[in-house]
Amino acid sequence: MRDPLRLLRSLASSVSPAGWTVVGLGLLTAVAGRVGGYVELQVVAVLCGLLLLVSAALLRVAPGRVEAKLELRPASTIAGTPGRAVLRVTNRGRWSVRHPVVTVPVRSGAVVAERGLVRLPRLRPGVQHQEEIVLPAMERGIVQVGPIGARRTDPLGLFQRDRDWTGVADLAVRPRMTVIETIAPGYVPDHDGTPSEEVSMSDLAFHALREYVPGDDLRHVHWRSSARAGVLHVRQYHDTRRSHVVIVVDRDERSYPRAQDFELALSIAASVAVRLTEEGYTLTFVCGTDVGADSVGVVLDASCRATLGPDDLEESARTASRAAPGSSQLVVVSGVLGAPQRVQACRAAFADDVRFLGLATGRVPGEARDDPPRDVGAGAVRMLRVRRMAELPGVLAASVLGGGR
Amino acid sequence: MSATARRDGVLTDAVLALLASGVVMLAWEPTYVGTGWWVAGLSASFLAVMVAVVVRDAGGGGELVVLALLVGYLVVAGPLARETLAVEGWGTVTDGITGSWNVWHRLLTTHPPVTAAGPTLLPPIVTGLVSGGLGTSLALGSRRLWPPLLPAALALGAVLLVGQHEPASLLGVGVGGTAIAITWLRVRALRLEADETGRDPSTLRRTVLGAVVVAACAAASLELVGDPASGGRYLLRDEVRPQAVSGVVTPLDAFRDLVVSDRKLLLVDGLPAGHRLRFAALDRYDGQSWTADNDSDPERDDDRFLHVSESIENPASGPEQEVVVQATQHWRMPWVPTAGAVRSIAFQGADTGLGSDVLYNPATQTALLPGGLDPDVRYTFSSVDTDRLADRRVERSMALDEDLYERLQVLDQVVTYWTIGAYTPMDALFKVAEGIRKVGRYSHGQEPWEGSITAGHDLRRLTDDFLLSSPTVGDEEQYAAAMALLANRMRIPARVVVGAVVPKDGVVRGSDVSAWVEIRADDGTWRTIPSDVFMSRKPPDRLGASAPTDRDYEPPNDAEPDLPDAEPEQDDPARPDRADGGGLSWWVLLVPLVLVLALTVPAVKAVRRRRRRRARRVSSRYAGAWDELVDHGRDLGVDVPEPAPRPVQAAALAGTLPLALEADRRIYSAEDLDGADADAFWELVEAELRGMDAAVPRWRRVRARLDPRTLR
Repeated sequence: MRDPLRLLRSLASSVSPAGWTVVGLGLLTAVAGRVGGYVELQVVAVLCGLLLLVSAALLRVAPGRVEAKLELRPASTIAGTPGRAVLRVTNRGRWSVRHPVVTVPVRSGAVVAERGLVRLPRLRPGVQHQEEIVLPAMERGIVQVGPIGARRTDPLGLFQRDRDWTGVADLAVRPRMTVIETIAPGYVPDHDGTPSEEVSMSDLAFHALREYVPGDDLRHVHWRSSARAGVLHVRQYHDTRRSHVVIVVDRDERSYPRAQDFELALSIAASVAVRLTEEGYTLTFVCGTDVGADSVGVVLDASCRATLGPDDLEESARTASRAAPGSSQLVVVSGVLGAPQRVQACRAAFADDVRFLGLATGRVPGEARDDPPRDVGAGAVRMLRVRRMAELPGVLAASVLGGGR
Repeated sequence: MSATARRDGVLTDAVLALLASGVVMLAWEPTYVGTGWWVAGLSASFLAVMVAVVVRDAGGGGELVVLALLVGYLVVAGPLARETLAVEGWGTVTDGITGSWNVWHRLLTTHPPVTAAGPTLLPPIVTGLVSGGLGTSLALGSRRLWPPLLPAALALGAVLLVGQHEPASLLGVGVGGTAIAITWLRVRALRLEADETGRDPSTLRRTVLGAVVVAACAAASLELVGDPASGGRYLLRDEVRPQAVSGVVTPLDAFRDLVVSDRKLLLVDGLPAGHRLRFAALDRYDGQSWTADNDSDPERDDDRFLHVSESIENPASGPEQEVVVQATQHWRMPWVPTAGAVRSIAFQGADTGLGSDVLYNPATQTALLPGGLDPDVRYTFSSVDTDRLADRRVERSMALDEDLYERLQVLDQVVTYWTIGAYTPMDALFKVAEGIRKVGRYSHGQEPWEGSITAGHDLRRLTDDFLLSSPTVGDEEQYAAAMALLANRMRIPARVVVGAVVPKDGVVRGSDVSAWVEIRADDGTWRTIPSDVFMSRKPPDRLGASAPTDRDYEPPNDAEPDLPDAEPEQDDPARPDRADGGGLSWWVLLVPLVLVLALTVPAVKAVRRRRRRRARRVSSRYAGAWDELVDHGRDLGVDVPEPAPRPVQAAALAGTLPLALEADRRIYSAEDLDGADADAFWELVEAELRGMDAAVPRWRRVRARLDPRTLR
């Protein structure tokens, strides 16, 4: 049974501003016409009432059926750049839908950041139409796009009804990233030139030898050693087990002077992750409870979800070291206000020969804008200061040249 | 929005504003006659729309539009109110202001239709200015949907209040007004929608569908609303008190004097012999005398003595006759004799101005000049002869004055005595008339032994000394008064009319003056019962007349036995005032006008500051704050270069460079601006303004407030 109050409320919410004006006009002239006895005003009031009734009725007539699907292409975007979505619409009703206006709400958390409006062309019955929608630039996070709704109005524009066509799709908005050169001297630049993958019979490239196992590629047989040993030996090049890097981002609020510094930390982590992936490393990313591993996509999506909260760096580090036992590099990103003991504890969770790179974002209170930054921490847990995204490549290059440990 | 789209938008708004003011003009139609009123009204609204468009285009705000319209109106109001194009400096403007004020009262105290000339053109012009000019200004200045409808709605309300009982046009005002309102709302809503989502290609189809819906609903609503004639309207003209006429001395009070002195009263030309000329129709009896009064007819709305225009709407069928009347110096009453249903009345020669003073009552078909009809005043009136005799077949009207009926119980004995055997009420009336005629005697009470036959027609005179005494002696005054009372007691609405039967040579003398009774038929018309029906001319027996009378009630207006020098009526203190109620001398209005002018500039500046502070775009708030500083500096007399970059301007205003730099930084920055920062900036600017004020003497500060130099 329909609740009359609910019906009334839904009716009231579907009145457009023009409709409210007509309602007001009708009420005013009804009162004035009745009290003063003015017939013209009574005509106006009756006409307004009739128009409202007829318009409301027309809106309910022939609702039409539309199937719609929303696809986010690509499924993730970078903060500050607009995203793209594709809307596929099929009109399953009997009559064509004329130029519907479609609303695209983009919600971040509980706040609807923007409600875009797109006008589609005429949708004939049975015909599918594809529309590209540009989503606005958002901040880092997981953003819900949708539900896509269409608005129907009556011919006089007094009532409007919104109906949802699709569900909600999640868009991962990744942190801003910048291009960096290299982060770790674990990749020693070859002084003889660029290393080549080409197999050569007489080369001096570093390799290891092992005995031949049926199935090995015969091209890799090292004949000289095989002749010497009497058994077939095969060259084995760089260890196919790639180097593994663990990136830990501190999400404790107290470490960062401003919330923007946390965003900067995530941006740094993301930039490093991308660069490492290009160089062929595998990654593990930990930020509080968000963990991402192996593929760079997973890592970046994990970085989208990260928010400020309580953090036990030591626990995170231990999780990471358990997940990636053979890691050769640890990267810790925190804020300048972070306690050095925590970073120390984090470092201690890993073996001693794991290389450590610490980066701290934010400005120390009392430090002027243009002063050269003083690094925080000391000794093994010395943190490099990065105050702006633009500084990151330079800081990392300097640390590489200086020989990080 | 592109430039063409914006221009089209302006054009659409202007056209719709004109149509809206056209609807308001239509509502004036029952009030006016001729073409002048809608020509003036529509021209005024057209000009007002142009002014609004130009001022808005030049960047002025709504207040500047109002100012421009006010100035334009004052320019026109003066010559129209004085009805001459000769400009007399300040006097013209003040006359315009007082004329605009008085013309509304004049409209409410004039019978429709009003001739649209001179000051009576001002109301349509005012409503045209408001609905056209203000409507366009609001349409161009606001993006919301409903503001442009407001001025037209208010103007329409004013016109309806000041209007007449019959509606102008249900189709035009009711349906047309609503259609224009809906159209305007739709156009503005579509414009907003086009800004957000681009133009809707199916607009045409939707418009056609919408028009069909509106037309169908309009037809249905016209059917539903029903008969417009039923029910009364609330009109200001019913609330306005018309000129009091019940105190005016009536010809019935002065009857004996008029008849006995037998002087030459009027010279009539154009009325055939035997026709009746009406002096006054007296329809209210308070126990003392019959008087004329306003609002004495329960079935008519226009039963008042009001001004008339060149033509009077007096529906009657028949040929029109034109009659010229000239009063002599012996005519010492304010009543203006007429005959039939008067269609127009005009005074000749030097007395043309009296045409705007004369009061006419279409219900009683009598006219009155409050200042008195002076000797040798000549006037012409054209009318249709509507005199019809009453006979037994006429059906009486049911619209009786119940109060009068209640008070006349004492006449029951007379009525029951004479109406034995009557078939219908009208039959009874004629039976009573014949009975009174049979027993009655006629005398003016001039003879020395006729001292008891006094003049007057109060209830005592008519009952104890007339109907209930034997013999029944009197003249037309008593007979007509008594007959009318008897008819009212028999539930037939009746009134006493004093007039004259025009003789062949057209010279009306005192001896031609007569009084008769008119009764109301069921079709609303009044039928005459001539005095011969109820009055005999037999003189009384000398013997009977010498019987002593016990009581002698002198009526208040008792005329003295010799009459030539008796002029008490002329100094009647109840004589109505000549001046129109509500006329103010112009200097009373000057004081509020000066106040308004003095307060306009500071008010405009305050509104401007508020507008700058609350601008929609935050960068505009910064720009507005800086502009406020510059304007204040210029008001205080500092020469700030303009237009110039803000730091250059800051050089002229000491100590404002940081504010200028901050404003520049914010206005030209690419990032989003915060409203809270803008408010903080405004606080700084206001502190700076106060500092500037503190540094100058007081008179300079006041002068800066009132200085219109920086108004743009």
